[in-house]
Amino acid sequence: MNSLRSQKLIDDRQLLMLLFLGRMFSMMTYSPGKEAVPGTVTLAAQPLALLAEAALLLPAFWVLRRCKQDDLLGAVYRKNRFAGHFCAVAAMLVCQLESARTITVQTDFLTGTIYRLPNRMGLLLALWAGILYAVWLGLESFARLSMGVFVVFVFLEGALAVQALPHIDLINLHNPLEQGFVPILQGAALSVGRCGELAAALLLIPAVRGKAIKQTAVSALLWTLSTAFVSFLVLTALGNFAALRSFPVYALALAGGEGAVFGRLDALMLLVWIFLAVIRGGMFQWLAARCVFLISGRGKAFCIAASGAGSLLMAVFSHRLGQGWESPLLWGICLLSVAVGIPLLATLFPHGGKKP
Amino acid sequence: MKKVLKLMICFCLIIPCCGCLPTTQLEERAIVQAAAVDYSEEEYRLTLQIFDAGSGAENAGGSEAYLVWESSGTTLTQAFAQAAQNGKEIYLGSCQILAVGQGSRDQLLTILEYFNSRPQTRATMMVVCADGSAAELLKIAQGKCKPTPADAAEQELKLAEENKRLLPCRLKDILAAMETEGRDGILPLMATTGQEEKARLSLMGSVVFCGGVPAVELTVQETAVLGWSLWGQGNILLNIDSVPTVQGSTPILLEHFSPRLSAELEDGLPCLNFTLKTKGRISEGVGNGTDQPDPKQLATLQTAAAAQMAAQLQDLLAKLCAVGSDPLRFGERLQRSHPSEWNSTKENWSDLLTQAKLNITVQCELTAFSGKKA
Repeated sequence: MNSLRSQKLIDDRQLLMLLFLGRMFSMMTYSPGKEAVPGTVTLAAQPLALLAEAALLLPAFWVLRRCKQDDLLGAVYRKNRFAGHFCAVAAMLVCQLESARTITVQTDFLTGTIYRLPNRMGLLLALWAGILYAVWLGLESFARLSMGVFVVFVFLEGALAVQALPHIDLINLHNPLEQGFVPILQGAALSVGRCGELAAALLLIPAVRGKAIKQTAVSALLWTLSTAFVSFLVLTALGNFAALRSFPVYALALAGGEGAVFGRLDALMLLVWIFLAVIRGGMFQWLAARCVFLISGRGKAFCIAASGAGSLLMAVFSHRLGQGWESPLLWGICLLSVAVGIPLLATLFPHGGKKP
Repeated sequence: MKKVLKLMICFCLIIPCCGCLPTTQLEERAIVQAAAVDYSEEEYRLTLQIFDAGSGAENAGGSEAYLVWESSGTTLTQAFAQAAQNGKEIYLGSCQILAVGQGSRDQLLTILEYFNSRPQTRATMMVVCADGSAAELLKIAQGKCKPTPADAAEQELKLAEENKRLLPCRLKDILAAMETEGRDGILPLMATTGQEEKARLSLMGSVVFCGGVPAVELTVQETAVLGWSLWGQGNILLNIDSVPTVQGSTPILLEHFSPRLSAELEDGLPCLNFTLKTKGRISEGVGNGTDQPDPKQLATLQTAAAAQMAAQLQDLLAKLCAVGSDPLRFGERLQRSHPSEWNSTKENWSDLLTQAKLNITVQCELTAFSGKKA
């Protein structure tokens, strides 16, 4: 069970890659049509979202600094074992939910847009099993993988830009302040709500060598820039058409047609997207398994199986929640419970307790 | 490193492994190259140009062999379901052209939304209006048309787009236009010309929509004038009628366009501003026959070209405004520059356009045929 203990498994650059690519998975699923605010407002809200994300990290970093350690859950465990268990269960549920969301989004994309299969269960199980295998290989395995995926992702973004360039029309961008400042705040809140990677960053710190806090901040800056860049391409090249598609980034990849510089980018995009799903799903699944380990102290196989079973159940029954599964409120609460709830609980207890 | 390699191989395999699932094989698919929709007596008639995979080895790569399937239904879903009764699954991922018949123009938005709702549909599929029955476009030359009707239509439209003789007519452009408040779509108009073996598909102009229904038809010349609103390179031959030559009017080639469009409100009425700077060259045979044009003659030509272009733009915009249509997005420009004024006028923007004031300025810079300035 060594790999789930508080060991320094990855370095800070690998943390940066994991967080950035995880966030990029959510960005690929962005559709202005599903948002409560117009696309231009979401784009303009990105700097504010970055500030909010930085603010959300502060309580946890403050607690870690105060406790003079780098493990948020460990800090709670040291103060109160029962509270530690409670926080570990909460963090496990959040990570399982995020992992299940990754699986369902990717499965819905593949079965609904690519392969047109009547039943999603086959792909859902394949992706789930693949993610569990990645977790079995260890955090360091898919952290190393993320370096290569990052390079391909950057190439994909560049190719998308080249593809979109002839179609860009700035008139598709409207004044984001048309309806006042409130929609900007709403857009920023929605962006932050989608950002489960903040929770992952806080929970991953004990496994990171080097400057984890600095690299978390750098990854937040990177994903903000990348999100703004791709949103700009989608909005200016597709206009209101983007709001009519479930996956407009994919529609943009197809927009160039065979005559474009890079041809149709859908195959490359599909490949990158699957890797992003594995990296994001694996990251959260590994964190969920670690939480199970903190709670039970059992072996690696048990922790991975137990956390995986929970994720699978959530993914399978996600459609029962209907719109609730897509609700920013659900994901916002998940994020807040880790980024604010756990540090808050840690400050409520005086020093003491046992090391987990 | 071994672990990373294992992971990479594992997930690269996910993609081909999906083919093992109960999905449709290539030979079970009807690959649609073009679709035509007609509507009459409350029934949709669907005509599909299907890639004929079974017509021999010559079809491997870039086949020109095709089949034409027809079906009908009270809804498009029914019509597609009937087409699928041929035993193959309809695949729209390669559909290049969607033709909408004259009778189905009122249903354009419904048709486009239906096609867009099918996940395989390409956002870059070209949408055209047929002058008459859309099915006739695909049945040209009794199914022996070379290149295929889909290819012929696509080539014609792409060439017109490249030369700025046409506004973008992809599914994404048309749907984005029709779904935007105060903006209208414009579709190319195509028809078959010539008889039997010599029959071909030709661009006949365009159809302007207003509020989702057809408002006015434009000729080929008027459609080309609309293309002047797009920034960039073009290739448009313009005959200057006011400067006659022995052969008739003086031809010039317009090659670069820098338009600036804006809108404002004056006394509650829209004022549409269109400033166009264009560059071009005179024909080889104009002037003294050398590549050193007479400066005076060049200046006269420039002034005459600018005046003629301004007049053509004036006529076109007046025609569009008369039916309250706004395909050049003046409404959105007003919204950007004067949001509060837009909010007060957006409800009746179409009505206000009928009383719009037009300010058109054109500057034309001409060179000799080789590009030499006077």
